[in-house]
Formats: sequence, structure tokens, C-alpha cells
Amino acid sequence: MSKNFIKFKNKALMIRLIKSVLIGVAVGLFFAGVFLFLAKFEILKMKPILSLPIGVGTALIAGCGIYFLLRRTDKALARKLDEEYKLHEKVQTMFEFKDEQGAMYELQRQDTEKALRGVSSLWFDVKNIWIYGLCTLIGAGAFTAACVLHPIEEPPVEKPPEAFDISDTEIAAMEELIAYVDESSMQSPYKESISSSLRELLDGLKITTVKTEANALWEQAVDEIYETTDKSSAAVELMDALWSCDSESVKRLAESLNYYEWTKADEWDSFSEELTEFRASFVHMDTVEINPDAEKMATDTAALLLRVESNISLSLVRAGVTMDDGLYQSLTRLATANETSSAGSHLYGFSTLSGLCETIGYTTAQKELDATFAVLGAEIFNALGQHSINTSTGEYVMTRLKSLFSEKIDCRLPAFERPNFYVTSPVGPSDPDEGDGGGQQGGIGEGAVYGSDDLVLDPLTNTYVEYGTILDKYYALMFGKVNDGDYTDEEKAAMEKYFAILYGGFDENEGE
Amino acid sequence: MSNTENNVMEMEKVKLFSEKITKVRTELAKDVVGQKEIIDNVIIAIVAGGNVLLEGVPGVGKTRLVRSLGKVLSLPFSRIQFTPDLMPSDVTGTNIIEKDDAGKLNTVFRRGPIFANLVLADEINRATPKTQSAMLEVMQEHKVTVANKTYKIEEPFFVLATENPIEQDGTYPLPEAQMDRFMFKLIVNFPSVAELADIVKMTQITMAETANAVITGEEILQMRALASTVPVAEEVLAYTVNLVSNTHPELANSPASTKKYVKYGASPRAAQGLITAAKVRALMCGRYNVSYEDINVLAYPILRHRMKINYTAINDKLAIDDVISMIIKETKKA
Repeated sequence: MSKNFIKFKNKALMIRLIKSVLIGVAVGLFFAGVFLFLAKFEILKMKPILSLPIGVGTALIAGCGIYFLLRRTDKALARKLDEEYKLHEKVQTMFEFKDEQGAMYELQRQDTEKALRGVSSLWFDVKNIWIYGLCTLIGAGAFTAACVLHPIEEPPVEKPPEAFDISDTEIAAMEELIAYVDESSMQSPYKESISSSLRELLDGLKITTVKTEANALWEQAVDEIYETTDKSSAAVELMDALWSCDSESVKRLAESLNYYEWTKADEWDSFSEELTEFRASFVHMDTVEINPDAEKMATDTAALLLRVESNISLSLVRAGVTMDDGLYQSLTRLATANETSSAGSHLYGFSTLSGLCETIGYTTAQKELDATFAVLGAEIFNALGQHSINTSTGEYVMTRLKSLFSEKIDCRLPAFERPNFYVTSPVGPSDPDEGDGGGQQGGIGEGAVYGSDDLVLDPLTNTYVEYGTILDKYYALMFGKVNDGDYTDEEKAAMEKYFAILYGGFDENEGE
Repeated sequence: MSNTENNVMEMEKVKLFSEKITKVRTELAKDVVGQKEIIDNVIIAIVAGGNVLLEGVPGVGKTRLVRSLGKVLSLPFSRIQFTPDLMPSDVTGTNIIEKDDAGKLNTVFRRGPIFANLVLADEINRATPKTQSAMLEVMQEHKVTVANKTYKIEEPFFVLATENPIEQDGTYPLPEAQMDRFMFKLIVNFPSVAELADIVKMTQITMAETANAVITGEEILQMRALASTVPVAEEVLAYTVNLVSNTHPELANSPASTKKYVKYGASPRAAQGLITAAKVRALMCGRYNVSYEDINVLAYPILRHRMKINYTAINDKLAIDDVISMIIKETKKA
């Protein structure tokens, strides 16, 4: 092959490489720019950094493609040389007859060599290279523009706070609710506390014009009411008091008290039976079986009675039952009866149960115990009744608040939970404020829902019904059973009292 | 003989070729003013071994050119003035009865004017078709058959014919078969004013041709052999074939201008003539290969009498050379 021809061939190869690189760079930059633009302006959901591998990939593909497309055979190169330098087809002829022998062919080759020597390869095949350069510039421009351009970030539009405006109807309903609380049979100071919370809520809602503030006010009021309702739970106090007496029979009574939810009619009957059993097993379990020694039995019984008296009295006081209530008097009377034969003071005057029986007679002792426990039962029922009134009132207030403002405020009611102190700590006394299972559970969160909105669970039908209807239903049920003679007179009286409390509250004049 | 020696000899031949061509040009220029292209094409035809038809109005130097050429070539030259009463035997010769020295009568063939190396067929279109047809065999095969006896004509042999395009009365158009025997049809145009002045001055001195013989028949044959070795690239050959093929309107791939303006196309002799003449032209131009330019330049004198334009072309005021230009433009190079 002619040396001069190879010179042009190498030049053509170099130009081909340059063109391929230019086109590769142009296409790579262009595509990288386009994808960067699309990514930055979020027209395409992709990370802007991905435009780089896209650019590299397209550059390689385009570069290789152009290198492949621009490939040129020696024959084509000869034609190109003839055309570009107007060599009168000398190179083509030389290439075609390169292997021919003969003087004329040799002369032709010499003539062609001379012609090729006479032309410079400097500008060979570069005629259109400016187009490739222009493409590269366009690609670079596209990429630069994509790098420089940024989406105009619009300042975030602050949403105007959602407005809140309490209506006259809602004010009237709130006033009515406050009056309901004020007139309810709920104990003081819980009633005043709830009423105060409601008043503060109403005053706050009248002033505020923003929903978020109204939400905060509402949640604060509900938290306060929930806490007050929680504090007003006499059942908790009773359970604590009984559990801390350190007597298996008393603990059993406490467990039964904890077991019930005090929302079903038969719970009262069952607990009444529990009290009767408690009475029957009181001395027997804790004294006779455990302590066959008569003297010690009497001592222990006396100590137990003291604890029962003390704990129950204190719990009743905390639950709102005054010290001059029947239990205290009854226990005092029991102690007084004992004093007739013993020089000891108060309940410590008990010597032995047998001694007591001998002194005051067995029948008398039994009567005294019966009377004591009858009063104890009545007081417990009394406290539980108050408990029911307190919690029902609090929960009603909260559900009513939600029904009033559910469309304007993001109302979230707490889960009304029953306390469950002793399931995880069945042995030993428990302080409601410490230890496992201690303390009142509640607050806003997960748990068994006792009531929500305006509905309560009707256990007879297992459906949610309006609160007032279930009370009527239970009363009718109770009335039917009483008429059927299912209950004793005492039970009948206790139940009638209970419903009287539910419907009308305490009659403080009667000292009950 | 080694390749180097062979090359040296070949280079000497090429050099000699160029010198001879230059001499022929110089000598012809003494008698013919201007007409450089015509002279070159005539020289090409002579070296290539082709016949030439010169067409031009009276007085433009057609006959003078051929006569001068006859002197330059140093070859036996004969002139035939074609007239309507010219008989074929007046051209080819005829058998006559001759009494020998012993008084015996013998039939002897008397050679006609065609038996020369260079024949001037002046105003060839004035002869009848019968007489014109007598030229067919000798122009193509360089031999004459009379009374079933064939006489070979000495090489080199050329016929240079002239015709007048203006006077149509008493003329007989040349048949296509005979036209095809002419390698070139050259149009001798009227000289320019300056050339005319030179012509007038020249003829005031003498009317006789002053050119000298500078080349022999043997040398012409050597030059022809040399030219035949000039290589032709495959692309150029393909282009030539395509160009001739594109003159045929009946072919599917022919250009639009051919289909529109051409009545019939050139024969294969055109392609042969193009390549042969192009080789000579290449050497005359100092090249050792045929180029597209050679083909394109020679396409006009080689194709113009071998193809015929139709009435559409005439209606569009197109000459045959215009149509050839169109076809050249539309013929793709390989």
C-alpha cells in the first residue's frame, strides 16, 4: 500500500475518532442536560445525579455508533481522496490495480504517488468537522443550561389557621351541661371541679377564633374532667382498703369488688352474695381454721376487725363517706360490747372470741357481727352508688362535649378504663400509687372502652344504646325481679336506694 | 527484459506519444485557425482508430482540416466528393477487363479511392443511400468485398466525413447504421472574429496547406497500442456503461430527462468508443488512467449522433447536447 495513501488513511482514522468523540460528548451532554433538567424540575421522578450515568451511557453509545457509521473502506477512502483533491480518479485506479504488473500500471502508480505527495493531508476530511463541533457546543449548552437553571421555589403558602366560632346553640348547650353538672348528685369537690373545667372551656371557646386553640382548650378540659372523674372513683378506694386488710377472706371480697364493672344489675346481687359469704367465712377462715388456738384466734380476730374497721373507715372517708356513718358506729358498738368484759380500749378490748361469746353471749356476738357486716355492706353499696354517679356524670360530660363539638374540634375522648389492681399482684397489700397494678389506670390511650360518645354497652343485648335508656331498662328488670320475690327485703331496699340515687341523687337531709 | 527496463521503455513511449501529439497539433495549427477542440478530438479519433463525421456550414475549414491532417500523418490520402450520381463502385473500386501483354483478356480489380489510410468523404450526405451503404463494411471492418472477393485495407485506416447541415435539397440523411460507425461527430462552429481575421490573412499568402508530415502510420498504431494499456477504474467503467445505458428511454432506470426527451439511445459501440477514446485523451492530458472528466467530455461527440431527441425536446428548444448534459448530470457516479 502506498505510503502516502496510508498517511491519508491514518488522518482519516484520526478525524473519525475526533468526530466520534465530539458526537459522543455532544449526545452525552445533551441527554445528561435534558434528564438533569427534567429531574430538577420534577417532570421526571428521578434523582438529578442519575443524569450523569445517563449522559455517560448515551455518550458511549453515540460515540461508538458514529465510529461505526463513519467507518470507510480503502476503496471509499480512495474515492474520497479523488473527490476532495480532484485527482481525476488516480487514487481509485491505483487502489484497484495495486497488484497489477505492467509498465503502464507502474507509471500510473508513480503518477498517483506524485499527485498525493503534492497535496497536504492537513485539511483532509475536516470539511464538515465544524458541524460536529457545533453539536458539541449545543450539547454543552444544554448541559450548562440544565445546571444553571433552577426551578423557581415559590415560598410555601402558609395555610390560614382554620377558624373556629362557637355558635349560640353550642353556648346554650354548654350552659345546659354545666347546669346539669351543678345539679347532679356527683360529690363535691369533683362536681365543682368539673363544672369549673366546663366553665373555663366555654369561656375559652367564646374568645378563641382558631381551631387549634379550640382543640387545645377542649383537650385540656377533657383531661381535667377525666382526672376528676378518676379521682372520684370510690370503688378504687374500697378495693384498696379491703386488699390492705391482709385477710384472705377480705381480699376475696376485694377481688370480687374489682371483678365487677358496676354497670349490670346482677353485679349488685352477686356482690351482695359475696358479702354474705364474706360474713359467714370471716371468723371461720381467718381465725378458726388458721388459728385453732382459741386465744390466739380471738386476738387475731380482734386485730383483723381493727384493720377492717380502720381501712374501710379511711377508704370510706376518702370516698366521701363521713366518719359518723354506720360502719364506724357499728364497729364502735362492737368494741363497746367487748369493753364490758375487758379493760382494754377500743377493739383491743377483745380478749378471745370465745371469751367474747361467754361475756356477751354467743348470740349477742353473732348479732353484733351481723349488724356490723350489714352496715358494712350497706356502706359499701352506698360508696359504690356514689362511685357510679361520679363516674357516670364525668363520662357523660365528656361524651356530651364530644357530641357538641365533634364537627368543629378534633375531639378525642380518652378510653374509659376500669381499674384492675390485683390481677397481676394477687398476694399482699397493694398501694394504689405504687407497684405493679397499683394506681388508677386511665388517661387517653388503649384499653377496654367503658363508654364513648353518647352510647353505652347494653350487656343484655350486647349492643350500644343511649345512656338513659339502659337505666330504665335495668330499673324495670329489677322491679320485675323484686315482684317475683327473687330478693330479700334488704336487697330490695338496697336496690331501690341505688336506683333512687341514680335517678335523683343523695338525700343529704337523711344523712345517707 | 526486467520490469525496470520495460518501464523505462514504456516511459519513452509515453514521452514519444506526447511529443507526437504536440507536433501534430502544431502542424495542424499552421493550416487550421482555431478549432482546437476539433483538432484534439480528431487526433483522439485517429489514435483510437475511429472515424469522424465533421458537420458544419460551408467554409469553416472542414475539408482543409482533413487535407492538412492527411499531410501531417504522412499517410496515403484520398478524397471522395460525394454526389448523388456517385456509384458504390466509384468508392470501392470495380473489376475491369484488361488485355495483358499477350493479348489475353483478364478481369482485374481496380481499387477505388477508399483504398487509402486516410479517406476524406466530403459532403457524404449528398450520395444516395446505396452509395453510402458501400461505406459500411469498410468503415467498420476495414475491408472491401467486390464480386465475392474481399480486399483488406491497410492499417491505419480512417474515414473523415463532412456534411453540411444547412442545404437539405438533394441530400440523403445518413442511416443510423452508418452513423454508428463514426466514433465522433464533431460540430465545426463558425470561427470567431479574430479567428476569421487570421483565416483571411493566412489565405492571402497561399491557399495550399503548409503542414509537414510528422507522424507515420506505424507510429499511430504504436500510439494506439500504448493507449489501450491505460487502466480504467471499475467505477469509471461502470459510470461509462451507466451513462450510455441512461440514453435509452425504454429502460426502467433511465433518468427522467431521457424518458422525456430521448427518442432512442446510443448503441454499445458508444460505450466502447467512450472508453477507447477516453484512454487516448487521458494520455494526451498526461495521465495514466481514465477519469470521469474524460468520459464526460467525450460523451458529446460520441453520443450526439448515436441518439435522437424527440419532438418534446425540440418543442422545448433543446439541442442534443443539452439533453446529453442533462443525462450526464443525472448519471450517478459509483
